[in-house]
Amino acid sequence: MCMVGWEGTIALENGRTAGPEDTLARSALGDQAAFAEIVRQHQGMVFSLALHFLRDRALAEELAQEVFLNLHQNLSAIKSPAHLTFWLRKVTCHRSIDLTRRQKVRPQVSLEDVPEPAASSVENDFMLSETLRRVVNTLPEKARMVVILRYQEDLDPAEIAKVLDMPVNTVKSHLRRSLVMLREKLSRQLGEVQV
Amino acid sequence: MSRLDDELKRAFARTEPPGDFAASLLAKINERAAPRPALWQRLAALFEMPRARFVMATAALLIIIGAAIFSQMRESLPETPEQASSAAPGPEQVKSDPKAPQTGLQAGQTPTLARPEQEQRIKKIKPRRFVKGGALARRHVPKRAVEPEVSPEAEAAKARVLFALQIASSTLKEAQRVIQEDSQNTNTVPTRDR
Repeated sequence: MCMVGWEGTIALENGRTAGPEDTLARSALGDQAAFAEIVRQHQGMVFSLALHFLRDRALAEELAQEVFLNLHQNLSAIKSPAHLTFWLRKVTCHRSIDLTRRQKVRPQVSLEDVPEPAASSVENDFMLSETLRRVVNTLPEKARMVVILRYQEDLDPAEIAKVLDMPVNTVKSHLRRSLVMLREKLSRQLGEVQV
Repeated sequence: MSRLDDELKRAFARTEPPGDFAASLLAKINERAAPRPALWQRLAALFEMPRARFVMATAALLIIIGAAIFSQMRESLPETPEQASSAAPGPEQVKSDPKAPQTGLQAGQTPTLARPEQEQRIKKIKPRRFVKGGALARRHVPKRAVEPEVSPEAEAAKARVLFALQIASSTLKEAQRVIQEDSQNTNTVPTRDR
């Protein structure tokens, strides 16, 4: 059996291809190759959620591994590929929030205390992205996770509410307030950019 | 969609983990999937430690048992002569006790408050050696001149302690001998056979 590069498909020995459902079913039966394929499909999402929230590569990698180990133990409870994605998002978000609360990984800094970016950063996309990540990182844990799920995973408020176990209106208010704060902060510093 | 939304999407784009992420994860899973030894195997493993350590642990255990028995024996003995004498009834008690034996004091004899057996014990306390200097010399009489009566239980406990110490010393000697033999055997084995 060999695995092909495109997502969710494994080429079997008889030429037939296996879809995400087959991959999930076979990994639940103990097929390591199928589980490895699932990991490759979702590792980017899990690792990025943890990395953007924790802002620490080593911690994010460790957390992502724990999430996949947990998945391996609970594969029989996963019903579909969509459920798998939802389960991974939910476990990663909650574990990241728990870890931050437990270890105080990122002490909360006031938005006003974030250092002013240099003027030349407007032209530099990398610097602007880094500034945005830093400003988002000053938000409270739940609001930060809402912003990350909204812009990394492109989820709508209803989906975010399901992942984070909170009312949709709370998600919307988190998003609205976070964006207002971000606009204020950035328009003060990057006046020429239409934010 | 505003420019801010675009910038946020760019800032929070997905990032791939290091290349060996999946491999190290699968290695961890295989490591966890290894069968855990049974309870009896883990218990047996406790006795597979190096011989010297096992012998030392046994010797330490024997010494602890010996010390416990010795302390028990000491507690059963009276610590000072005062305590020993306090165990017997006091002079006032003798006086008031109507069942106490009569001393049969004759006229002109110095009255004492002690019973005959207590007098015998007091005689024993007197220094037997006569040292020049009289009263001064008596000051040098050792305080613990009374030989306390040793109960049979204490004698038995003492014998047990001595027996336990003998066992401990013989075990230690045996251990030393075994270790020496081992080290000699190790030294005599040719290098290519090791």
